[in-house]
Amino acid sequence: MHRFNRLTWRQTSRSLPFIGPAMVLLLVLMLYPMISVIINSTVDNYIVVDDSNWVGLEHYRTILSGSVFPRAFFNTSVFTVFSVAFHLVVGFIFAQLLNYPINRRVQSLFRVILILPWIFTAAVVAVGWRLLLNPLGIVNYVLQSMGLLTSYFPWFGASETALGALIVVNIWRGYPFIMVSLLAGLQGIPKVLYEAAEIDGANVRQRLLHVTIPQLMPVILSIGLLDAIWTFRLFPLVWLTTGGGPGRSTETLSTYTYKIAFNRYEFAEAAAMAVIILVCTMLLSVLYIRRQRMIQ
Amino acid sequence: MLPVVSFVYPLFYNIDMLEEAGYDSPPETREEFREMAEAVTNADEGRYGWSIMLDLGQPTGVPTDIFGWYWNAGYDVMEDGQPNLDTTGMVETLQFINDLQQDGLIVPGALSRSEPEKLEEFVNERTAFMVSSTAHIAMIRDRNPDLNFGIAPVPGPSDYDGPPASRVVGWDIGISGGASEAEADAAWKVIEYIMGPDVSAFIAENANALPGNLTASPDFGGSEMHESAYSIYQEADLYSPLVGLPDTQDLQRLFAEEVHALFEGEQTAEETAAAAQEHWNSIILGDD
Repeated sequence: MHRFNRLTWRQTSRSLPFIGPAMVLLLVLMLYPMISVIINSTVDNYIVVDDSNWVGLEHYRTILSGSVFPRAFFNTSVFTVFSVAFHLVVGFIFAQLLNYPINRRVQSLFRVILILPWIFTAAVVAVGWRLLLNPLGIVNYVLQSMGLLTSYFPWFGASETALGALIVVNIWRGYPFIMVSLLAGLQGIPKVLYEAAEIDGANVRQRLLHVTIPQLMPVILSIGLLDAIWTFRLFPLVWLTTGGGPGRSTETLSTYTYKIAFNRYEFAEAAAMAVIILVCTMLLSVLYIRRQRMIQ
Repeated sequence: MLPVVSFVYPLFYNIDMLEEAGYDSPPETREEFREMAEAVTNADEGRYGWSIMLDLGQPTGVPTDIFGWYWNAGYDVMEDGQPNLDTTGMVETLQFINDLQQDGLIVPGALSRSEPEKLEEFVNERTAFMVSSTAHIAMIRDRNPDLNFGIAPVPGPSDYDGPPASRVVGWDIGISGGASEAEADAAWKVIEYIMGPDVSAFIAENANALPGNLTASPDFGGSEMHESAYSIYQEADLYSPLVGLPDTQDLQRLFAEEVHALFEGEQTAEETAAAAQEHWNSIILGDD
């Protein structure tokens, strides 16, 4: 045991120059900001005041006992769960379609078209969908022509539909990443499994349930968790489409944090909010890392 | 701070739409405004009386689309350094606006509408009225050169006989508090020069704006629109609410959120005014 430790130490000291630069970057860019946010969340305010006073967990108490936090947490959770679920479903369907052995050129063309939403920045997506879903916009026009709608409905401007509309936009924007990952997964499934299943007389549904999905499961779980982490802290799309409104109907943890910081200039309280979001996403990250370890 | 140039926020009206509905002049009272809004609204064709913006991301619609009506009823949002929102005037203003909303006279989507969208709706004749900055006149003409529109003071209640009022936003100039005496003297000379009647008029003419110096007489090249903007500017009581307060955005957003609740039928106009007052008290006066 003693010998083992010494060897490890020698190995470590030899590897330090190699991992050193990366470690320094991680410390400076990740660990330092994180720690400073945590420290800043325990003072009364900073940046806008000359002296900060320590207030302990006061900001956490204020946030957690306020009426906005539960609403924002609920909205964020609904937004994340539905977004991720539909990303997986839509991504899987498109990945399956792209995996069909059709003309290579046509296949490439569809790949390019289907990945487009992922390429646009959030601001472009937000402006585009604001125009599409404008009460006097094209979506309402089409729905009205089909007789499905009788009025100019404000999808983003009515509390009962705003969150749903936002989820639809986020599904549209986020499925390509899942699609590409699942496509890579699909292409990695050995053909022999399907051949064996066919010989055993499995139909399309059985092949899907007993070969494709089990084989894809590691990928599905990994990117599902990753997507959940990303979606949970999504800000620009929400801010640029609804700003958290109407009322609080699309308030998420990140828009609420922004309002605390840049509308109210309560930077310490915003730091506390950021720490709360950090804890939530860390829980998801732990699941993700455990998942990755299991795969390895 | 002194305004080098200023812009006022009058009521923009679509002359053709009003004429089509049988009106040859803009409304002078809220009652007339409502009557005209009703007359021009045709939801089947996607045409409405008024467009307002209450997007929470940029809550500037609050001073433009709501306070504009409040000032024109003889009230101000602040009085003696105290918030002044829980008043009969505010309740009536909110009631008036909410009635227009509930009766379908406002273009749908007010709660998520941003300023560019509001302007587009006016440019594309989706709405007969909007309250907006005179800074947008050039842009409106550029987007739709055929649009036949005019500007007038925002109408007040019929029983109000005070002067018209308008929000005013300026490009301001000032001297930094950190300047030395010599620097401040030199800076003051520049300001005096810029604010002189001739230079002020020159800047206003070239910026399509209103001069910071009220005695300046800019030549707007016969532009009727700018002449009437200038007369509103000279005659109206001018308000630039919350300027200099660090929490301006938050104050506006909290107000907007309460109006959202009003529009969604969650509270009455009285409750909205009281809730807004409470928010503002807690921020401005530090009341809990």
